[in-house]
Amino acid sequence: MANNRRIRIELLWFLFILPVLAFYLIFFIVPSASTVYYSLTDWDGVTSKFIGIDNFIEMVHDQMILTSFGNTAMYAVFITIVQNLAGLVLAVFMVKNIAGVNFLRTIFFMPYVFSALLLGYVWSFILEPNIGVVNNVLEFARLGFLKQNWLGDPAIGRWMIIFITIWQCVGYSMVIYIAGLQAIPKDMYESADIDGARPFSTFRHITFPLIAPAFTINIMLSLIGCLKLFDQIYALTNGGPGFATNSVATMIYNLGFGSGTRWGYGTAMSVTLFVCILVISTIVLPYLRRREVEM
Amino acid sequence: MKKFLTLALVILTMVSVFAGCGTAMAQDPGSGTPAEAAATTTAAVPVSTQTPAEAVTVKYMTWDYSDRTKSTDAWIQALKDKYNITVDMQNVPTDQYAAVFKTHFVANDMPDLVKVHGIGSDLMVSNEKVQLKEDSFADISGISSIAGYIPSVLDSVKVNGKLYYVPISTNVLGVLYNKKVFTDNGITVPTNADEFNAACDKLKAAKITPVASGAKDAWSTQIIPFIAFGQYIDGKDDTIRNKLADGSMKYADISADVTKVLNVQQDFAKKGYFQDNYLGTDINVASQLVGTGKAAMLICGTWQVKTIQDADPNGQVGFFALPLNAAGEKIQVPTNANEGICINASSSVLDSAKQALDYFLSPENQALIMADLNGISTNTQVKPEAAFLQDVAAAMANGNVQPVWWGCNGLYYPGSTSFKIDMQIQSLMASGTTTDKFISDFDSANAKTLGK
Repeated sequence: MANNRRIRIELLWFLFILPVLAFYLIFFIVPSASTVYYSLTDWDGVTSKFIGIDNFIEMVHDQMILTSFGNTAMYAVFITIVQNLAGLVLAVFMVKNIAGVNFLRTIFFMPYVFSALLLGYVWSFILEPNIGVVNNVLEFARLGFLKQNWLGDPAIGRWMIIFITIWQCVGYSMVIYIAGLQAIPKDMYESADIDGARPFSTFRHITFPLIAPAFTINIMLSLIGCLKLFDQIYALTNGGPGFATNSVATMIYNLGFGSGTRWGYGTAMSVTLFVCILVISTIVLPYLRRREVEM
Repeated sequence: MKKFLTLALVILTMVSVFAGCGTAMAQDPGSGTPAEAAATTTAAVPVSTQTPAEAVTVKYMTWDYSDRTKSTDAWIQALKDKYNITVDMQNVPTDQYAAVFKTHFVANDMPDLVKVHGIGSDLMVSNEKVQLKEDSFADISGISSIAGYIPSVLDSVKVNGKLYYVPISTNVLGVLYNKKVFTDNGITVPTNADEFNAACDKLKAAKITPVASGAKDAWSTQIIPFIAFGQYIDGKDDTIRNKLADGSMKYADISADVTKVLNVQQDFAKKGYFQDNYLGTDINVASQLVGTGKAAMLICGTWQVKTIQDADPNGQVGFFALPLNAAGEKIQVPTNANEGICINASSSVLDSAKQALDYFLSPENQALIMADLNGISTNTQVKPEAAFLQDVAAAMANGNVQPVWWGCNGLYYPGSTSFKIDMQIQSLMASGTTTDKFISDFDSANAKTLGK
């Protein structure tokens, strides 16, 4: 009797979460599952035929796809490292009691507030080789020999994408590091002072270990963000010239869906990207968590 | 009090942001401004002003509202005034049009009037990448205003005797040039490849960029190859395009000619005819370079004249066909009469949709559209008056007009091929691929499509 009553109560509670579950099922689980299915078809947006793992086999042999994976790895490694280093350095200065610190924090954080697409388009005007500010300022300063095809040369274009993404996102990393730094008890620094620790030693042995949780969050967020990098590339180079600066995400759009016919192929690329992010996160996150405990 | 004020400020900000999110998609017919008579074209054939008994709303989907705003507003207003038809317009961004079109098609909820980039002979809407069925759109052959259109244009787009849309204007590929730069440097319009090269060399010597290239926009890198294809392949045998489309011929079979076609642009680049850093320059900046006299020519379609003219409203922009011909050979002028409005055959307001299309195709309305487009109308009752359009007409009269350039109307390659020709040509310019690889990748993508 008591059991039945408990089951009824449990069912009643379950009824309350049913709408949310249905919503989650319809708008997340079903589309995700259908993504996996469509990756095994030649879906063109209208019709589809099951073709097994043909899309994945083709992907392995497609030089453009391999290039986009290489580019994505390059973006992920450099942006994650530099963004976090720069964010940490900025945070260390922005927690000091200096005049105008709040204003400076706002300035550094501001680019992150704006749309990446919008900033990408603004930067593409700034870096335009004929009428852009950068080349014209260089010309005016008699440094014309430094003028470059900033976005039209694949080798430079990739670095510009990295630079602009770091410029936009460094403020976000800085804010997380500031939160981490402000949570460190002041008495630890006082003890270090009394013990005669130098600033670098203080940073190495007190600050850095104690901001490990902030470090973990920042690394994971920037890594996953870079693996999905799309907006900046779309606005700055659209993956070009040709396919030279594409990331996997822009390649999915350009080749899979932009062509209008290879939606199955695009879906297969999406699944591959998802698996890559899953694998990298599964390896990196526990490592960083372990490091937090060790420190 | 402070909290209340902050809350009020936040609400006000959000309301203003959301109000700003409104788009021009759903047009209020009452707000449209009737356009004035076209400045560059003339037409004076009235359309019947029969008013239906009750108000009807016709849904219309397009991508081109931004470049023909004035004429579209005028058309919407006229339909309301003359026929009590309200047009509910959905203006979709160009790069999303194919996906939206496809979504409507699959969901079987196509708007009553739908703009298409062109329907191929195999009923493939090539840009939108949708294979139509014969009954997807209504046969509009019976619409009265069609009588004013060039019969050969209508014949070229009929599929199995049915007319699904009327291409309203012809785009012509060629050279848009700054007349003052030519005059100042003593250059006359070249009529063959040698004269063209000599003109470019002379401009280069005068420290003026001969040809502005907007190669950052992948689509613009196709124009020179399109013209070269017309000159070196279509000009020789115009049945090749059909064979390439149905797979009975491969690009590898004519690789020498295709290589010649693809090399024209590469040669211009090697000779230094383009400005420095052309791969980082978009088409609008390239157009401005011509408009302001920093460059002499832009090889593009006639639609680009407005951007060049906007850079210097007092400047004079001329047009001539790109002369890739040897002396004594006929110059080829690639054109494409495409883009038109289809009527959803399952529309619940079929008669009103036909009436709206009838007025759209009327010379009175077409004159306004051509004024917006600076285009060559396919309606014989709409005559060009602007100097630029007269140059275009002269180029067409003096050359051998190709009705469809490389890639149009489901010819040249299967309409649903996955080969992204624009990005591949751009890649070729950036040394990201080779001509041989271009040809083999193209063939393999086409074979795969045909196999499917």
